[in-house]
Order: sequence, then C-alpha cells, then structure tokens
Amino acid sequence: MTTRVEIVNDFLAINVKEGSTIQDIVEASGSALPFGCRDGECGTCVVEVESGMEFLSPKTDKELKVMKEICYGTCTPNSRLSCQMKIAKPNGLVRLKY
Amino acid sequence: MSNAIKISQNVYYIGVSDADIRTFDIIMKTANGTTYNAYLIKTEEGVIILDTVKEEFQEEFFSKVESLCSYDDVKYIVMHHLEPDHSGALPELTKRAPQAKVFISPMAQPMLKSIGKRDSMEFETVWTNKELKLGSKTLKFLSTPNLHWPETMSSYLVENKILFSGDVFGSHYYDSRIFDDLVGDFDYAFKYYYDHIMRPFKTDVLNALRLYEPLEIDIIANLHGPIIRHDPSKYLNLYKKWSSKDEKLHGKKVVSIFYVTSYKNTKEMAQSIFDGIEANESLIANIYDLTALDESNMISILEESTGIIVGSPTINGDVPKPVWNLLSCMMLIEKRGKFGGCFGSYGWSGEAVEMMNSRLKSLKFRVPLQPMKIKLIPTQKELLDCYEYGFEFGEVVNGKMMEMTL
Repeated sequence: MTTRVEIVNDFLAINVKEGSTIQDIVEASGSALPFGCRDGECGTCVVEVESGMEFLSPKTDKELKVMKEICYGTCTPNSRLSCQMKIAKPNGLVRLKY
Repeated sequence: MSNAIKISQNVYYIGVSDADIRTFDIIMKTANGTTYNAYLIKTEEGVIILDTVKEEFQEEFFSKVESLCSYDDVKYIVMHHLEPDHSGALPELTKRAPQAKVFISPMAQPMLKSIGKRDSMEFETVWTNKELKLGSKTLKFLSTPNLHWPETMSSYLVENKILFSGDVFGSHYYDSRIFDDLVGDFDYAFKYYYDHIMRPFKTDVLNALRLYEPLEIDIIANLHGPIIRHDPSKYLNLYKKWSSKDEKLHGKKVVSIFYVTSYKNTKEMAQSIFDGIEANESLIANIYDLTALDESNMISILEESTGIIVGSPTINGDVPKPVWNLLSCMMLIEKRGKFGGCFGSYGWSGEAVEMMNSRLKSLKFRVPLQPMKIKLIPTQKELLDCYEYGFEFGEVVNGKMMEMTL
C-alpha cells in the first residue's frame, strides 16, 4: 500500500507510505532537490507535479501566497512547494520535476 | 567628493566610489576598485531612492541626496539587494526620511530587520508585474532571485527605459567617468564579475533574461561599475551566451574523474572506475591527476561534466590540499543537475572519502552511490568492484532510474 514518487531530474523512484512528507522522501533518497527556509516562505523548493496531484495533500495557504508572489510568472497550476506536501493516498504515482 | 550626476530625465546617479579596495567579498580581486551605485528619481509628487551605499561612504551619498531634494520629499526607497555594500546607508536614510516606505522582495523580508538595524520599518514586498506609480513615473518590479542573493530583484522605469538591474550586469571597476561609453574597455572586469557572482546561478540568469528581453532598454543602471548606455543589448547577449548550457560534449554526457595518489592505489581505483564508465558508449569519461591541474582548468572541466567523481587517499586523517582545491572551487559553478561520487584507498581509518562525500552532498550534487573505500592495495576483486561502481555511476548519469522503498 505505497505510492511511487518519481523525482525525474534525479532518476529516482521511491515507494513511500501514505503520510510521508516530500521533504523526508527527498532527504532519505539522496535527491538533490534544494530546500531553503523549509517553512513555505521562500519558494526555493518549488517543483512541477507532472502527474499524481490527486495523491498529494492540498495546497496550503503558504503555498498559495508564494505562488502568487515569489513565483509569479514562473509557476503553473501544477507548481507545488516540496516542504509543504505530503503523500495523501496510497497506490498512486507522483512525478516531480524541479 | 563628486556631485550627483544626471543619467536621464529626472534620474540621477547618487552612488559612491571605492577606488582603493583591492579585494571584494573575500573571493574577488579588484585591481580597479569598485563603485556602489545608487539612484534617485524625481517626480512631481516626490522622490524615489533606489538602493544606498556601503556604510562608510554614506556621508557622500547623503550629500548627493541633499543636493537634489529634501528628506521630506522622499516617498519611497527601493532596495534591489540587501547586501551591506548597498544597504549600509539604509538605517540612516530611514531615520532621515522616516515617512518613506521601503520596497523589497518577499525573500528580503526576513533580512530587513537585521540589515535595517531597526525593530520596525514601513515596507512592502513586491514581485514581477507589481508596479509603483509616482507622478509621471512608473517603476515595474521584476523578481530576479539569486543574482546574487536569494532576495535580489530588478526594476524597470518605463518612461525612461531604464533597467535597474541590481548586481546583474555589474563590474568591480571604478572609473570617474561612470558611463560605459566614456570608460572604455572594462570587459575583463565584466566577465570576471559574471564568473564569480552569476555563473553559479546560470539557470536564474536565464530566467532573469526572459524578464529583461521584452523590455526596450536604453540604460542599464546596475549596482557596481560603469552604467551601461551604449548598446545594452551587447551585455544581455553576453550573459545569455555565458549562461546557456550544453549538457553534452560531442553529443555525449561527460563524467570526469579527479584523483590524487601516494602509492598508485587510488590511481588504480580511478582507472577501473574510468573503464566502467567507458563501457557505456553514450558517455565520455575523463581522468585527471589533481596535482597537475590548474584551478581555471578544474572549473572548465567541472562545468562541462555531468558526473564528477573524486578520489583521494587519507593523509593525517584528512583530505590532501589538491583535492580541497577542487572541492573549494565548486562554489563557482552551478551544481544543479550534476552527479557526484567519491572513492579512495586508505591505510588506517580512511576519513578522506567520507569528507569528500559529505562535501558533495552539502553542495547539492546528486550522490547516487555509496562511496568506494579500499584498504591499501586493491585486489583484482576490488578493482572489479570499482569497475562496477563506474559502470553503475555512468548508468545513473545516463538516466537509469534508481528504485527504492522507504
């Protein structure tokens, strides 16, 4: 009952349990995805969710603010902050690109 | 002390010169000194000040402000960059003009209290497409992070076609004539500045250029060195050329192995790893003895390599200096998208390999494999393990997905 998270830049495929945070997954897997403040303020850890948004926790207010301000003009509706996301459902495939 | 200089209709240079500085930010030599550029825009409804100067030069900065307006006239202060060479006079300026609102990027917010040396300061955060209108002037803000701190931004004065670029397009080059067409040749300083400040953030440079390119730019008003008013497009094109990345050489990704060796044990490991990488025909493997490699060549090789593998024995429980030279010059390149690995022969405790591995991880190289450590003279079996390490490393660089379960 896991969800497969693919970090495509790093050629990593990680099977994780529901409730896992993307931050924990990145750190445990050796991904080079960069983090800044780790608190949804700076936008350093922005990623594009290429597929599987439905398996992720909803966007937080902090994410919405960063997307509107810091990432204006560069983000898309599929942009998310890695420090704010969790795996919300099992048996899914989430593809992330940074 | 010089006077404020008009650079366009109602726009003035109020920066200062630091002609005698010979080292900047620890890492840069400044044979020609530098300048801390700042600007003032006059409108019918008040004044906008763009950036300040290093604190020790603030009296000259204030005398230039006073020659153009009273502090009561100052409505807004725009801080494109909060590094102390540009924000040094901000605390005093906000004392003298307490009514002025400070504009910063959202990422500058956590820095403002410390830099501004005040508990409270009226400020507003701005980003791309937000604009400030005052009198007949329109200043459009542009988010240009990491050039050269995370909080840096630019702005564009619509009516005068001036790009206030922050540190972008700067040079550490003092010349009293201040405009590029009067200064003459400062190309070496322009490239040197790019190499040290912008090169590690090429992706961010390209993002900034995408914001700049649609603008009609007559003047680039930067924060260091000559103001650019003769053919600004030349400088945009240089930044584009230097920041454009080619991930392949001769149509193939490059993996470079750097090593030092005392008794040829680490060298033998390097050769087997090389052979393993070379087994993949879509990669180019290179191998370098660090004791005979200049830093400028190290940087060039690091830049062209997608994979970087570093090998060293352990000497006195440490990594020997030629390897630290390589590891330290990595601060000058962009690490995004690069893979790293480490190996080494050791006699006793073998700390060097872990130190190198830790350094690569800290720099955000993707480090896909456990490092290879071999005690003293490698056996044939151990050299075969090195070959397998090289082969697997090459496969990952070439796009092989690594599976894991957490």
